Amino acid sequence: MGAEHSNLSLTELNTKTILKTTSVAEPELGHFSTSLVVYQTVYELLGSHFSSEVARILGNDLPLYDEINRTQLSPNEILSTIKENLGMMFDELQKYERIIFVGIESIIIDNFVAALPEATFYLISHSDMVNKERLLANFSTNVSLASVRDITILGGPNSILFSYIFCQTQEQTALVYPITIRAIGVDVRQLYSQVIGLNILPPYKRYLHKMSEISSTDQFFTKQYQVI
Amino acid sequence: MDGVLLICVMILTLAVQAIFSQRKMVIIFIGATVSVTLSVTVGHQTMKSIYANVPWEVLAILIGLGIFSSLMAKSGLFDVLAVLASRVSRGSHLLIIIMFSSIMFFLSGILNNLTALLLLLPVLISILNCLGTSQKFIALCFSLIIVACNLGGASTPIGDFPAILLMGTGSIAFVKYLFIAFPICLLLFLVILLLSVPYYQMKTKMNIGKVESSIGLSVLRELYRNLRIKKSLLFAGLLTFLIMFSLWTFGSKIGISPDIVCFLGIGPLLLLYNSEGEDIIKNKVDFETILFLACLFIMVSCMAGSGILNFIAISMSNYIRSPQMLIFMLMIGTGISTSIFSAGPSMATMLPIAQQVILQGGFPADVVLVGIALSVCAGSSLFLTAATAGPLSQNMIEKSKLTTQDGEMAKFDLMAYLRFGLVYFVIIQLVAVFFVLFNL
Repeated sequence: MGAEHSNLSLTELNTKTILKTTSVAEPELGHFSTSLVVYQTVYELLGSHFSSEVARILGNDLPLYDEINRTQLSPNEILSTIKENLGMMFDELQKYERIIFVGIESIIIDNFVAALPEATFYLISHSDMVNKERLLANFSTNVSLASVRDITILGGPNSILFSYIFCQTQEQTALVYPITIRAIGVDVRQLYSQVIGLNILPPYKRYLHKMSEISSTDQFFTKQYQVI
Repeated sequence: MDGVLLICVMILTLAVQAIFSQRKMVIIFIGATVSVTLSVTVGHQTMKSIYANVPWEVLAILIGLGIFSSLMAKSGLFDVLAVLASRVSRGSHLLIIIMFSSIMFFLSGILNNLTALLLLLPVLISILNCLGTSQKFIALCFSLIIVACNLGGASTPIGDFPAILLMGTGSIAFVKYLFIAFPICLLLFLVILLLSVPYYQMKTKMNIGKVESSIGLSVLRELYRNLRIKKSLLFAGLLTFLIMFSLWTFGSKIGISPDIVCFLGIGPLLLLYNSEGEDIIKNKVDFETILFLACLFIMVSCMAGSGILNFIAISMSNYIRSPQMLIFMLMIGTGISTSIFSAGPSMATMLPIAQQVILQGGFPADVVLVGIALSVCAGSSLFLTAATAGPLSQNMIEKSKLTTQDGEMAKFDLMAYLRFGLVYFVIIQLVAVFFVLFNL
């Protein structure tokens, strides 16, 4: 795959341009989903070997890309793994009327929205830079944006809350979107029947830009699911 | 005497509103109030005669087409078109310029300029954000978008205010305007586009690598991954447009005026999409512009009632003996006044004078009026501030926080546009003048 492009010169790879592009996408797609898009593009264009080369060049600035590359899975394998892992939850989720996401990861939310058309989804963005109209144009009318202030109003026995956990270590330290820390306090946990952490790319421990470190995931989430 | 005073009030009002554009509504209201007071007290006109000369049908058409534009925007077709254009470009900045300006040209011919820009610019800005850009490229790209918007608006009788005024007042038939103006505007657009290609190659060429542009395109695809066209709204809108188009073309033969056609088309569409329609009427119709134009029409009506416009036209015909020179002066005057006072005020003021000149000189009305509309288009393209498209584009670029590859905030201001504006003005104005003089 991508053999016809293998003569492309990676020494001239313009990291600045790529990072600018990803910075446009991260508020609306999420950091993991954006890195996955980059990985998929590079993989399809240059093949797995060059994808690792790109990871070496971009690794420091785009650590999630590097982590995705380390899985040694092809983009299609990653996508089907995510679908499979998320699919195991959907039966149980049928009983909930409201599903709230703290932070946006488009690859995950798209799967949820497709599988649970009867539910109403509320997205609390992890960034102020989100283009609301563009973001919502990708979903049907059962998806809307909410703010952190709405999180208590949206709670109740028929509501379930999701957020993301990145690079969780065996010591339970992990990285989360800063909005997760702001949004999920003790009071909020009591309002929701479940607060689920979607675990992405454990167990690597590395610093992710724009993320906050937490010492224990248990203080935020009642349950965790491994996404990839 | 009152005519001279009224013309002074008009010029002063237009000048002050151009300088203090933040207060233009207050200024135009004051101008209209002073004009009406002078006409009634000094000029012995009646309010009834002043109102009678206001082309209300033009305002009705503007409101109707504004609603139609907003409804069509909600169909999602144009977002899909814009995203499709970015995919077809395969990351080539030159193709992006060509495709977006072409879409803008055709879109502006059907929708009002404001809606056309609001639909396309956010997608274009996202594309440039993802693919990378430079200050020079931004200047070329958005200048071209603005002139495409102006030319597209002038190419049809429903695209922009000057042409709507001509059609609405019955000065020129729908089909006649379309047949004369569209080919010239398309030709002008193609000439300007062709001239832009070598300029791009020499001055603003972007060198983005294959990997970077592929990532940019993939990200764009994801940002707009599930765009959907509301087919029922789109088809209903297209059907309405076809019916309106037919009635605009043949309606005059059975006594249906263009404003009635607009009501006949928009009414059922609003009934069908009443929820969207309610939102559009409350939030999207540009009543500010409608009020501005209403005040302007009242001022022009006062002037026309005083007989001053007639006097100016006769004087021009008497002093300038050569018909070619007379028309030339009229067109250049329209172009320059548009660049200073913008299209609405300029066209509203110059049209009655042009009509008198046509009457006095026995010139072919259709040709001269299209020439005047093209002169307005030329003037609109000279300065960034001369038409709606300029300040709106500038504002949208600033708000979008678009940055260049060097990390600088993108800038698109009066000076960045001026060099392009000058070229566009000269090209459009010259072609318009030659076209009219050739057909006299």
